[in-house]
Amino acid sequence: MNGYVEAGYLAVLGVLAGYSALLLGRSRKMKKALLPLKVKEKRSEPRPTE
Amino acid sequence: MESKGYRWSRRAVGFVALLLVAATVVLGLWITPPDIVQGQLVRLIYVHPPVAWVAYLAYGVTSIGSVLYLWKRTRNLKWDLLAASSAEVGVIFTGLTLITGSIWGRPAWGVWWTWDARLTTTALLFVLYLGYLALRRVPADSHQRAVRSAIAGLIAFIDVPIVHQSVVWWRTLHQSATVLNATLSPKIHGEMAMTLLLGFIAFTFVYVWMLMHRYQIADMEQSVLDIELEQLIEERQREPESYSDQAVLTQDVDQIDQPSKV
Repeated sequence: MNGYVEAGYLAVLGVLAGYSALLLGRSRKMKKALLPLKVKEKRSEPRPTE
Repeated sequence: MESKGYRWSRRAVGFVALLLVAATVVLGLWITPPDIVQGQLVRLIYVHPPVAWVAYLAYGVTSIGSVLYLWKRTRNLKWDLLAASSAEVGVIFTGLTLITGSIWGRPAWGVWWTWDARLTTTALLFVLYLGYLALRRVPADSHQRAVRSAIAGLIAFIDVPIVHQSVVWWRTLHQSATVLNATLSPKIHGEMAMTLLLGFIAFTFVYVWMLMHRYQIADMEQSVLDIELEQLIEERQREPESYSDQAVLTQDVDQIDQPSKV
């Protein structure tokens, strides 16, 4: 081909891949920030009273 | 948080988009024949009009979201978030339209850029929606920001039909519409037409996938803002003494400022 065609396709695929990666990264970061913490419910034994 | 169904549908859309884009690239670069007039350069038709179409679609969705927010019956912040998400994706696709158009223009017209009606109105569209995104960054409460943005989004959309009709209204270097022309008679046939159609569908799927992701991020960002606001209110409520001290202090200052009556 003539170089221009390849450049056009590369530009489209490159920009879309870059923006997709950015979206995925931001989404992962936000999910981590908002994920409710899992707290293990472990009841402590009552202290023996003297 | 997102539901399981939403996550799965987004993954399915992403997978289909990936397959369709791969098929468009293979067909566009290697299977379809070169054009009699444009030669190999015609292969850019399988990406350039589809990305331009997605930009129109994205701004159309922004306008619908804006109207639904401005209309009191349907007012909900989700419409504003949808409008903003779609505008951001639209800006990416408008940028791609300008880049691919410029790459096509260099060998076809001999210049990377010219102040042709189609090119100029598209560049204006890009700047208008960049302005829309910049406006959203101006500090304001959620409602105020949504109203401002909705009005700006609707004003910016006026340029979309102008871009599309620019090749009809003015004498331009840019060729007229290949498919959506006045007589609705496509100027492309056979496997070239099929590949072009595939390109339109493929990039529409890419847009839907990106919009789903961007909307979810916008929704989560809004949740973070709400949480921060709640925390600030709680913090203020926890400090009643210091505020009452401050009130007393302000009162004292007021008394000092007042001229003493003799």
